Amino acid sequence: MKLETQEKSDEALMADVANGDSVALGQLYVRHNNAVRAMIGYVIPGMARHDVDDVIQDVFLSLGKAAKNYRHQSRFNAFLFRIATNRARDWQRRAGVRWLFFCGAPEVETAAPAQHTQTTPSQHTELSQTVRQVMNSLSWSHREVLVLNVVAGFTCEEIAAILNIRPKTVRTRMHRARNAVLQHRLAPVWQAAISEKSP
Amino acid sequence: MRREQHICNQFNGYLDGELSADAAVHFEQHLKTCAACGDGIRMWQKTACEMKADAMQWAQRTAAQVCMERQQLMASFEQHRALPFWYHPAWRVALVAMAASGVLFMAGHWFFSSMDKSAANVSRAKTVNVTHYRQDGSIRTSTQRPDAVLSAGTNESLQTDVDDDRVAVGPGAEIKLNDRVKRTPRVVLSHGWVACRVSKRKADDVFVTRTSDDRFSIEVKGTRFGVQYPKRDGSVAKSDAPHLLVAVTEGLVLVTGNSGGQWMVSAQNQLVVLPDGTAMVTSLSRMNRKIVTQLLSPSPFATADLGIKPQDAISAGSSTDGETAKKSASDKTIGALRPWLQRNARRSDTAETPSPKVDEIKRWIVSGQHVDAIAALEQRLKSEPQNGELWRLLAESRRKTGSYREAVDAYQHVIRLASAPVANAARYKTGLIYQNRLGRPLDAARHFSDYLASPEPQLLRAEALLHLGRARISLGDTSAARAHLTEVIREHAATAAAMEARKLLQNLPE
Repeated sequence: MKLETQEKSDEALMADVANGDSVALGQLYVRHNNAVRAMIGYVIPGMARHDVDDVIQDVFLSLGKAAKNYRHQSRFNAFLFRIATNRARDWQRRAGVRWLFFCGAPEVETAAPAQHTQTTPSQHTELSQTVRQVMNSLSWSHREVLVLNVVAGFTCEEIAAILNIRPKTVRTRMHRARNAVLQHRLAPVWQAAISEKSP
Repeated sequence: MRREQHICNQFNGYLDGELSADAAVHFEQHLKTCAACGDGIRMWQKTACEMKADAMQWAQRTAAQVCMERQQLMASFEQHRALPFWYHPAWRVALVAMAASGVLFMAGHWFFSSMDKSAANVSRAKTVNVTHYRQDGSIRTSTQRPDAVLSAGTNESLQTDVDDDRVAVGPGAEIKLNDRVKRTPRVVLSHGWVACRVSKRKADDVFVTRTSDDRFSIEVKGTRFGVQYPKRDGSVAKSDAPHLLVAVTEGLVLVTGNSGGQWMVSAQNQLVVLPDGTAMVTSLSRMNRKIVTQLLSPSPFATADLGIKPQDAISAGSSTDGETAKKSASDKTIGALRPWLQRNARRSDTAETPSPKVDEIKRWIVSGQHVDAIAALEQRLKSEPQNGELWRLLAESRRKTGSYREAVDAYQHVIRLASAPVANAARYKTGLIYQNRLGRPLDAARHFSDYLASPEPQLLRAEALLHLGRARISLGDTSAARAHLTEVIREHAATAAAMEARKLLQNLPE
């Protein structure tokens, strides 16, 4: 029975969730929680680990409630990430309100160095931290578009559907975000990396 | 050059996959020749790859950390679950039960032990002011402090022959009688010789006091004073209505009388109880600094109840002279302003003084000095007990001062000793007192019947018939009442008594 559930597509699992099958919702969580977590971790910089977990729990609870509204016209991933981006925006808004009332600095979760195959560990640590710093320096709208494109792998039209904006606006934001990353911030780092690698 | 720039602008379109197939091939050929575009493409691919890998690894690592924290949390739960045995719910229940049983045991021990140890204390009464009204018109003021009686234990009879005792019930005692206003645990016994019995603390327990003449016993239930008195047929009548209570509150004296009426006397006033039972309140007018006297009618006291001497007048409260005012101020602080009944009041020297003449007594009665008149008449009657005129004057004075029982006694002497017309009038007035004041319609009917049966001229025949009819109605004899009322209407049609009789007849059931 479990094997049969694992073989089901996301859309079929959503149909089961709409019928009240909590096991199917758990299966969807197992499949997609890392992608959603990665997206949220990049979109909202400095978010604490338990906050990310809370947002993800909220996303999948909302997914269970919204399963009856899923019409199979778009990719399941787009449906899920639309919910995730909305929840991320809600959390960001509430965090602002919390900061306003309690003046408490949010708990910052710094990314630990990750292993990379193409670069040396020292280079990778530096590159990943630089990439994060560059991403954090972008505006929310640019960062959101870029993460959805790069991390989640959505096209411009899908991003436009997720964010409920026009595709041309998505392209404009992507163009500006790429230029900001490559020409103004990451260029010196990559030049150094390339120059070290070329000999 | 411009063409090369145009191809470089297709950089983002190439990355987004929006170029057509030909344009994509053309742009890839351009990448081989344009170093800037080539580096850009490589940089972006590395950046995207780094970003994706970093994001996914961060997500996996975070998920693993959350999972590990969850396991640690569960482990801590398991650790808490392995608590000592007394943390087991059964042990907790047992501990609570043992604690509750211990508390119950201590409470029971305290309750049963306090039953034997608690006591009611009779405190020493404060100094009160006694004013003696002499027959010669002078007023003598003295200060006396009654003896105190020590405390008594539970279930012991506590007796004192001191008036105005205060029985203070401590917190460990078994009874608790509250002040009406302040709800403080305090009892004020203000009447005569008292015998106190402290019983168990129950809602229906009775706190019994006995008056000096043993005619009445006052039952105290909570804060209510009831009266219990013997009737003529030997039975005992009980009433929960307040009989005689002078309770003192802060700055106020509350007087409750026989008829249930109550009077509030402020601390600045003076409550005076005269020997015949007449009570009045005197107060100092702030406007003209004169003493204003207000008669309490009907009187809350009866002479027989008070057991006081004719020549004495009892006063309580503040007076206007300086010395008493100081005492009253100290009394006020403890709320001790109340009528004080002096049983052992000193006899005045008026016994040696000559009795006033009858004409002078009549002048006193006309001028409203009934107290002096009664004292003088009683003194003269000791030497002239067969004088019907003196008995008539005494009866009239007593009736006007509200001493109706004593007035009836005096009228009986009048009926026996006086001339026939006077005796007949005395029968009529006795009937009126029985009918309207004492609530004894049978005696009233008997006297009215005697009045109507007398051969003397009956000036008040219509009224007597009307009152006789009312008495018969009260006794339930409607046929006789109808006959009397019909007689009034027939014989005295134009009088007010006939109109009243018609109304009574209309309302009389068949």
